[in-house]
Amino acid sequence: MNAIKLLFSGPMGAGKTTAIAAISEIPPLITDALNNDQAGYAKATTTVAFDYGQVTLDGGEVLRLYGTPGQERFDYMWQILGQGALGVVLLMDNSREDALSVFDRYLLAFKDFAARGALVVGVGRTEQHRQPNTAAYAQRAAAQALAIPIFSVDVRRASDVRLLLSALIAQLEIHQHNE
Amino acid sequence: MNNETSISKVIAAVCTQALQDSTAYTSHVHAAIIATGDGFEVASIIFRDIHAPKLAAMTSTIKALGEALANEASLPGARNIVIESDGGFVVVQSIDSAHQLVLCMIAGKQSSLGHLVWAARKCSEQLGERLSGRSPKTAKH
Repeated sequence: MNAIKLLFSGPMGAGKTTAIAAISEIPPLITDALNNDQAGYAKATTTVAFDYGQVTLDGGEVLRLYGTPGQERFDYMWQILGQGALGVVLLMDNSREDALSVFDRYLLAFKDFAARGALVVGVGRTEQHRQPNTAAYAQRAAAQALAIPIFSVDVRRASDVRLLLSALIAQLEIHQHNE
Repeated sequence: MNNETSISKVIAAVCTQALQDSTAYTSHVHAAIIATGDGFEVASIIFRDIHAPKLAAMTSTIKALGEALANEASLPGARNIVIESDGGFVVVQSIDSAHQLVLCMIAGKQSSLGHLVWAARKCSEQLGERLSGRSPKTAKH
């Protein structure tokens, strides 16, 4: 494999655009628009098509990183961008009161990836919001008969994003080996 | 219209009027919608079985992708995206105002693409003038 397509998904404000920008070797493609839903999440802009960035691994493989829009009204983009993707980095925002129910919905949306070991989870803003902890997320995944790696991360740090990608690639390799 | 967005009812009413004016002199229109840049429906006139909230979201996506592609090709200032299909036409047109709205017009194959593009542009210009308080004389052509 010389080029690997991966998705970054998760709810609005979870840090998908930030994560891709933190590690991309090229200026990331960003399709932001003015955010009119300040009640949903108070930030200036939001992704409406996709983000795109690239990272080259030591072995020469190029990771093509696509970030989905977060809002469920854009779920058609999740389907479009998911075509041909090998794995998903699911980013969660622990500051949301409904973090676990949002997690359930995203797990359901990307269940095919999760079931074949092609999904890892990064939970953000855990320093300010310690609950729910990663064990609580793991329990929700287990309720859907899924065992997936879950990390507490700050996606502004490139090292944290690389950790998520390393975990995902390791998962993909294990799965490939077991096939 | 989603009540949680920052677009006022006054703006929505202005947009609805603009769509009514535009569709009145354009034949074979299936739908016309004005959406926010982040995909919320502001106003719509739907003549066929088309889900307006989804169309609003897709309109914002297409506008963003068109602008991104044009910028990547060093063609800044993208104004519209045209889709020609066997069944008809889709025109997505930016509206030049601080609200960063987008117009989408869908028409059947019996319509004239040239007229549809002209109608979308005219609707966009008039709305931009009304929403920004510009006089028609200073509007872009």
